[in-house]
Amino acid sequence: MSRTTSRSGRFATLLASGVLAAAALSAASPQASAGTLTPLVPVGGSLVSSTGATLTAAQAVQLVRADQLAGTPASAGRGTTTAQPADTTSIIGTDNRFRVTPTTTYPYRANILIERSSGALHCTGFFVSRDTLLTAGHCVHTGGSAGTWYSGLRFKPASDGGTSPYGTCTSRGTWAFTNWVNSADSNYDIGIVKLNCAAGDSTGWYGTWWQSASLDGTFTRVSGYPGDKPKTQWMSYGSVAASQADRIFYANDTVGGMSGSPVWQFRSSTASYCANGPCVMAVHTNGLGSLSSTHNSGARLTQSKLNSIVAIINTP
Amino acid sequence: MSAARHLNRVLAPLAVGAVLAGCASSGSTPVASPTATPPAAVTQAPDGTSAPTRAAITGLVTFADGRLATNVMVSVTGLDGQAVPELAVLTGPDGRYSWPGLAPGRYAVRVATTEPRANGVTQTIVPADGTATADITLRS
Repeated sequence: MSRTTSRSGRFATLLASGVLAAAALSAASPQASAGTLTPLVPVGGSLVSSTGATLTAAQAVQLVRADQLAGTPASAGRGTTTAQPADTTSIIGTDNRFRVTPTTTYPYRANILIERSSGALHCTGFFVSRDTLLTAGHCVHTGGSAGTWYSGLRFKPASDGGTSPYGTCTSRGTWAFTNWVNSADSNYDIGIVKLNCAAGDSTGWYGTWWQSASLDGTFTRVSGYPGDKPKTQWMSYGSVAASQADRIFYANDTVGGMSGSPVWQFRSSTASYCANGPCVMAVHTNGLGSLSSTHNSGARLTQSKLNSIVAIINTP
Repeated sequence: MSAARHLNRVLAPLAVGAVLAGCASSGSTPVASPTATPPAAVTQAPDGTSAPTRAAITGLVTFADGRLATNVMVSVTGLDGQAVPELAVLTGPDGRYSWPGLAPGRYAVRVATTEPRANGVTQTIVPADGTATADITLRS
């Protein structure tokens, strides 16, 4: 609880000093040194919520702690692995996906089945804090100025075959990048949901990181809830075939329902950022199509996107 | 939970929301400077331009003998280069589906089942300002 208190205190300080408004007007500065919070590049990272609240990229930067500038560390949470049969990996035809079972091991238990209010399958999400999840923007808002927000979505961490070992949560704050909500920009197709539960305390959560260097050749895991294998979790391996500033392309097999899945890897203990844990580099959003006829793709985490994501994580 | 902490939990989100909204409405929202513009190499979706319209395809899926096909996955593919979100869209107990969030253009709509083994495909055009209908009959 000390973390919550300290974050709240930080907000109080920001509000009292008017630093949010000041930051919004300040010029971009490229660096932040330890212990200070100099505004970084406020590009394209602004958010809007389903209630109309806004968070500009410059405001977001003010809510990011110095130790969060490169991303966030992974956490296994306090959950215990439920005694279940050993992994029954299966491969179907040329499909290189395999089922994740049991789903109660870390980090797979931090993956979340997202259902619509009707109970119909919808998407995948994943914890990035005790009560915050990331998913695709199109899983929370249909995209573009004529788009609409989904309401009544249900979030079931580590769901498996109809079971919900960590319960069912709902949203108490749904955000998406302005570029997605205003113009359906696939590069910003990321949604952030603040849940009414803190199941992340039990499931743990993924770390995140960004790097400006190319991610080409980086090993990728994509794990989530495909619609053709209802309510069971599946994963595939691959690697980044092409990286753009805001998007990466990979050959991992995915199908509808995997939208919002983490594109991640286990980071070594010597990694520069997000070391020694499962860390996310992108959010899976699209299968084959106009973005690429040969590779699936996801919205890449960047400095500006992560600033806004961390700002929401840091809100109480 | 102490009273102070409870108050903190209740008020903090409200305060943040109020201030964030205040910042936005006071005209302080920054405009990205030219130097901060993403590089031109960044690929944007074809539908990511001004004022895109998002529509849906709805329809009924049945087997050749008339039975409703329930809880089967419906896949769509953009035939005009549209980027299709990887949502899970399945038919309901009434055999009907609704595929949301699609940009205008031509689409192929596919359904395949394993028990019984059957499949069906059809094409439809999503108009700029409406919803397209695509019913599918599954044949073995």
